[in-house]
Amino acid sequence: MAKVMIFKRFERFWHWSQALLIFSLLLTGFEIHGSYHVLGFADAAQLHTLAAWTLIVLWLFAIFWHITTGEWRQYMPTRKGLWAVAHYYMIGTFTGASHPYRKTSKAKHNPLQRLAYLFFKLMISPVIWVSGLLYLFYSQWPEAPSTILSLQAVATVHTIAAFTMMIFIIGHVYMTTLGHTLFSHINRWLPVTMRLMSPAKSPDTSGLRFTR
Amino acid sequence: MPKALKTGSEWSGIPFSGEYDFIETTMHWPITHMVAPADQALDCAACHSANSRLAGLPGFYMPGHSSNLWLNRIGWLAVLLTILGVALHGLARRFFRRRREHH
Repeated sequence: MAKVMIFKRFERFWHWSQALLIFSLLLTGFEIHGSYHVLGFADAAQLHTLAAWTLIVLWLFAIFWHITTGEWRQYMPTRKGLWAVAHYYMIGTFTGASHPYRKTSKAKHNPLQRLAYLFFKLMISPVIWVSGLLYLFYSQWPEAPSTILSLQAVATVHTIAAFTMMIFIIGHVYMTTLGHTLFSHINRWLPVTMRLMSPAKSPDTSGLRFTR
Repeated sequence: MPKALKTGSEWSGIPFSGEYDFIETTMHWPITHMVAPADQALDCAACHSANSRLAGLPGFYMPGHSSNLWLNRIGWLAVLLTILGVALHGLARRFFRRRREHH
């Protein structure tokens, strides 16, 4: 019997630092947007820019990692089992059915996750990056784009993407609790010593780790 | 002196009577180049906030000052509905689990 580390060290580093950066970006971003006052505009803008550049660097490493390890295949959409997973979240989780998907290192994400994360990687993130960089370099815009593009349009797209990101995160964080126990999904992302205990009495026999 | 005054008034087209005198004048020079003292210096939020010194000026977009009312309404509503959705889903899970445990 061997416990398998489904998410590798780099993956965890990437995931958690990305989480921290995205939370900082959302917090500072909506302050710049004028939704509330916590840090003050100056600090919020400075931190937002710093976190954005850090996340861009992190993403470059992550893209390199996905390509070189072939892990990008984890996000290839599949229809097989998609309905079973959707059905589980809509009905099975209430009737006490067990999760229809078994994670392995070869296929870490269930079909619904693949779609969600692909949407995150190919839609939300690129839109945020492109609009964000245009926003950041507004004062360096040459004449040409300012006739077709306005700062208002760029800011609107950036804000829509930020709202989408926030909604994604709420759903994402909630869905981590949909495992066999409340924390069995999230524990897979934590070092053994930091695992959270679930209130449920049942032993952890979820598909989180597979045995062989 | 009258020669210079005469030439000057001819050049600028102002009639010159030929009489002249001197008066005391005071002139104020802004040697700080209109820069306010440090404690009155503007911060970012002087412009980048809803009711900033730019309030009422049209024709530009400025983060923190301008934002789309409807975009904000729809955005926050969507966030709120998501929170409500997951809260209801979570409560329903709890409810059905308890019912299963009791039967």
